[in-house]
Order: sequence, then structure tokens, then C-alpha cells
Amino acid sequence: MEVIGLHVQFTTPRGVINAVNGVSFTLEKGETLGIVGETGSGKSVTAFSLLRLVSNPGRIVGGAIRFEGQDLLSLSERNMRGIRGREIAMIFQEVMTSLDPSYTVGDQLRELLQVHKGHRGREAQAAVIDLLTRVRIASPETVVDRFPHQLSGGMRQRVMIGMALACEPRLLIADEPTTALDTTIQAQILDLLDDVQSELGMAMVFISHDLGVVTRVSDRIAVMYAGRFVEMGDKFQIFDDTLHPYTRGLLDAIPRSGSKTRPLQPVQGTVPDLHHPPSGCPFHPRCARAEARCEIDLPPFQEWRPGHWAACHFAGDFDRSSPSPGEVG
Amino acid sequence: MRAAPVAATPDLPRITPLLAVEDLSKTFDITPGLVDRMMHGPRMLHAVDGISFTVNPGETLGLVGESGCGKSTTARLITRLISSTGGRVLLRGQDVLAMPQREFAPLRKSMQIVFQDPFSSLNPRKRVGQIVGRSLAIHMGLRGAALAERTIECLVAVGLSPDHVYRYPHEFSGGQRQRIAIARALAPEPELLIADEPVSALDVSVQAQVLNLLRSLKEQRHFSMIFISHNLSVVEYLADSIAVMYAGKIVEAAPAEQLFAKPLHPYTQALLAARSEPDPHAPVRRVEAKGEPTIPINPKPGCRFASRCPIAIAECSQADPPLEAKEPSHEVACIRA
Repeated sequence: MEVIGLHVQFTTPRGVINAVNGVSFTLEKGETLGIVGETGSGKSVTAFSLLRLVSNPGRIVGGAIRFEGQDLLSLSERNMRGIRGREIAMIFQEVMTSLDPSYTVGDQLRELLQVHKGHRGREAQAAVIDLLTRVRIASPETVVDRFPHQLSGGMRQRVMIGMALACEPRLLIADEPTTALDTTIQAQILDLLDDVQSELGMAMVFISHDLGVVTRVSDRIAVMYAGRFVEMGDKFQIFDDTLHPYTRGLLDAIPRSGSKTRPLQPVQGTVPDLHHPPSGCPFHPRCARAEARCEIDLPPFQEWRPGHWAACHFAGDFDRSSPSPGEVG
Repeated sequence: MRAAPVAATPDLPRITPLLAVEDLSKTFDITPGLVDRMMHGPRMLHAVDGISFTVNPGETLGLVGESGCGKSTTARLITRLISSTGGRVLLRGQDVLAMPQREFAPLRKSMQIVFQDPFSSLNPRKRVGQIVGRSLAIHMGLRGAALAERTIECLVAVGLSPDHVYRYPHEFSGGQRQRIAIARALAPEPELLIADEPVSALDVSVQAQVLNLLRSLKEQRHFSMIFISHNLSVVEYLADSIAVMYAGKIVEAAPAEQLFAKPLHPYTQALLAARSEPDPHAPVRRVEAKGEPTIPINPKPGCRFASRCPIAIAECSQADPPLEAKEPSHEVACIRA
């Protein structure tokens, strides 16, 4: 997949905001790109845009999304529907977006397999059991007769993954799929996604606010802030050779094992209001490294090292001066 | 009554705990209706099932577990927000659960609580000054100018500014609202602060701000804290000792360093393996625990983790494993530890 200069706007009562403000990246077959960002960074909107699922008051206003050579933004809705769920599938944080509460799990999976793969009758039933087994649900024969609300969060997530994989898509978009789950269940689901991905040779775009989870699943990571990518590289580059002060801030703000003696260094301030974004670099008001230039010139997102991109005038050349403890934020 | 872990190093004299929880229980009757009760008997949820631990003056106890383990219920039991069905909670030797309401009311000054959701824990119709000031008026008897001045001091101590007294909660971000909640809780100068998942609903960078705030306030004022969380890394940052809960019981309790260095209970090991570090060099460990967290409804005897445990044997399902010290200060409820 190739995304070039994606722009998505939202029209709110207070004005128009650029939720996604020029995002570009490529994704190879079988690769996982993790997009990490906090609330309001635009990561979920980016995910929805890849499948053209952005609707009023949001609108894709610019850019191109190429999937296996085809520009998805120029397809008819009918052709786009053929791609959604078949070639590109999506799983969500809120599982009930995919599951209808009034039908049993078995009914929904059967219908899906009938529509997408033409299974009928007993063949469909067997395929459903097979699917549930593949996502490691214990006793699938019982689960088929359950309604979604009768299953736990982790089980529903597995069913949703099963549905997404039914057509063996070439790309899976995962929008915070494990955020609402308990830690041990989260780890099980991540292990499952890992196995399934290797089996199918599937690419994945994994979106989360949790840098730890993103590191666990991804090959490459993109850090998003105020609608833009501020850094992108493989996970070792991001961690060992951090280029952007915001990425550095996120890494320093996360408590890690053995971190008791090292004080956390939070990023000062708060995320900007996209109705009144800061001039120049959107991160400059919170940046310890910022200079006068940062307020005026928007730093371009460029390749500072092979395969390692950042949007900062001083990429990699920053030092945190004596940290101050948490302030008004 | 069993000994609970003491955070102090072995060569210090034994300290009198500030808080001693003994065999605390809370059972909820969740039988759907009369017919079910007659046909199948009552369905009882053993949310908190005979737990014991102590908190020493100035110590932070981390109470860790996933959803449904009973940690939040424990917090509510200790502060008498809900009634218990068994056990004692001794604050400086006095059982606060057995006291009449009149006698307990002034003790609320000593035990304060901060909740997870910064959006629903503050009264939206009151100004911040009133929210914090009320606590001061009730517990410290302050009025007029003294009240106003002390209210401002409390807000400044958590990193807010004096003019915030006039604003309403909805005008603040999640992180700021947690600061207000912390200001309110610390205003009466409690000896014990219970923080129930205080940073879970916040963005990462804001989490760090609030954690640092709690850490520095603790250093200044030396109150004890019970820090409840499902996030082990966050707990590691603040806790002196840790108790791990599963399905209403404590399964492991030890000083923090010991727990992380050598977790003895398979569930604790699973929790640690399940942590996702933002460090790509750290080895990814597959979680051995299968299935979902057990919900203790009409629990049968036996270890509640047995059905998920990678090392469970037949004996595990026969009797509840006792919580015992397998190493100095390190208790585990597992016959195979």
C-alpha cells in the first residue's frame, strides 16, 4: 500500500479542522506498520480513511491511497465494497461495530462465509467451526449458539478477528483492538495476530496509543502528532536513534521495568486544539529544543537516515536539559 | 490471622501498621430471580474473599490485578463506600468497619480516595474552589478567609493556579481533573490515600505528569498510599510493596523489588510476561495463561487460577491454596511455588 499526502478535514460547529494533515507512507506485503499517537493525533481517522470509511462531518480532501497499484480514492463505492472485507479487512476497539447483537455468532459468521466465499449448509457450518478454532476459541460448538453479549471481551475480539480473516485479506487494519482488554488477554490476542499474520503473509496497520504494544507487534513505527507523522522508521531506529523530541518525550514518559530510580520525564503542556493549531511546527510550544525558527517554519517530513523519517529542524540533535517535575497540564 | 508483608528491610524494628486488613470479604447475591433461586439455589459473587494485608506509615502498597479481581471493591470496602460481609479493617488498631457511622465520619479525614474516571468523580455543577473547599470545611473546620487561602494552597500544590478556583470541571482536561481530585483528597491531610486506577484513563504524557505529582507529594507529606492498577509498570514506579489479586483473593504479596525479580505465582508470571515494553530489544514472551480471568461465582474449592495455569496438577483443584511465606516477606498462594 502507498499513501501519499492524505488530507482529511472535519467540519465542526467551531470551524474546520485538519484531522489528518498530509500523511504519507508505504507498506510492503507481510509488513506491520504501527501508528502511535495520543488522543486527537488523527491516527484513527487515518485508519478509517484507508478503507474510505470516513463520513460526515469528515471528508477526505486530498491525497492518494494506492493498494496494489489501484488508487482507492478514485474507485466507485461499489468497487470499494468489493475490497472492504475481502482484500482489506478491519478490526476495531469497540467490537460491537462488527457484531450484530441480535444474531448469534454462528449465524453472523455463516452469513459472512456464504456471502464472501459461497459456502452453503453443512459446509458453511464446518467452515464456521474451523474459523473459530483458528482464532483459538475453546469449545467453538458452544460459542456458535451464543449471542455477542454472552461472550467476554476477549472472545468477542477473537470472533471479530475471525470475521476479518475469513476472506484471507492481504491487509488488516487494526484500530486499538486490544485497548479495552485485560493485560493477559491483550497479550493472547497479540500473539494470535502474530501467528495469523505469519500464516497468511498478511500486512497490517496497527494503531494504538500504547507504544509498548505497538513495539511488540510492528516492524516499523510511525509517531503521529496533531494530524501529522512526526517520525517514522523501523522499531530499532525509533528506540535507539530517536529523531523527534515528541517521540523522545513519549519514551521518557512511559514507566518501564527497572525504572523506579529514574524519574519519569513527562512531556510538558497539552495537545493542541486543532481549531487553532500553533504556527510553524505544531509541537513547538511543548518542545524543550524549540527555537525561534520552529514557530515560523513547518519542518518538512524528510528522510534523515535510510528508512528513518522525521519532521524536525534538529532531528536527533536534542538533549533534554534539566527536567522539571510535572507542571500544569 | 496471618502475617502480611512488611516493606521495611529486615534489620529495622517492626513498625505498627497504619492500616491492617484482616480476612476482608464481600459477597454479592446476583441470583437473577426467584425462580432461579428456587431451582438452582442462589448465585453468589465472592468479589473479595478473605483478604489480609497491611500498610505501614509512609508506605505505598500496589494492589494489582485484572478486571473482576476485586481490587476496586477492596478500596470501596476500606472506605466504607459499600458494606462488607466479613472481616476487619483496622486503622491504627481500631476496626473502622465495626464502628457506628457517627464514630466513623471524622475518620474519613484520615482515609481519602481518588477514582479512575476524572470525568465523573467531580460534581459538574460546583466550581473547583467549592469542590476542594468543601473537603476543608468539613474535615478541618475552616471558614472564610482561612478556607479560601488554604483552598488556593491545595490547588497550587498539585500544579494548578489560583484562578482555577472559579472554574468548573468541564473546563479542564482529564489530567487537570485528576489533579483537582488529588487536591480534594489531600486537602484534609489524610494519613492514607487510596488511588483507584488514577491514571488509566489518561494519555501517556499526562499519566507521567500525574504519577510524578503523586510521587513528589508523597515525598513531601509522607502519607501512606494504596495504589490500585492493572498496569504493573506504573505500579513498579510508585510501590514499595505489592499484592497481586485474582478472582477475589490475594495470590502473591512481596516487597516490590522481590516481586519483579522473582515472581512465584504463575499468575504473576503471566502478568509480567504480558507486559509490552516499548523496547524492541526486550524479548517478547508468550503468555502461558490461557483463557479468560475467572469470575468467582459460587466458587468450588481449589485454586481459582487452576483452569488457566500452565503448571496446574490434580491437587490444585482440591483445596484453596493458603497464602504462605515461601521466602522471607514473600507470600504466595500456590502449592507448586
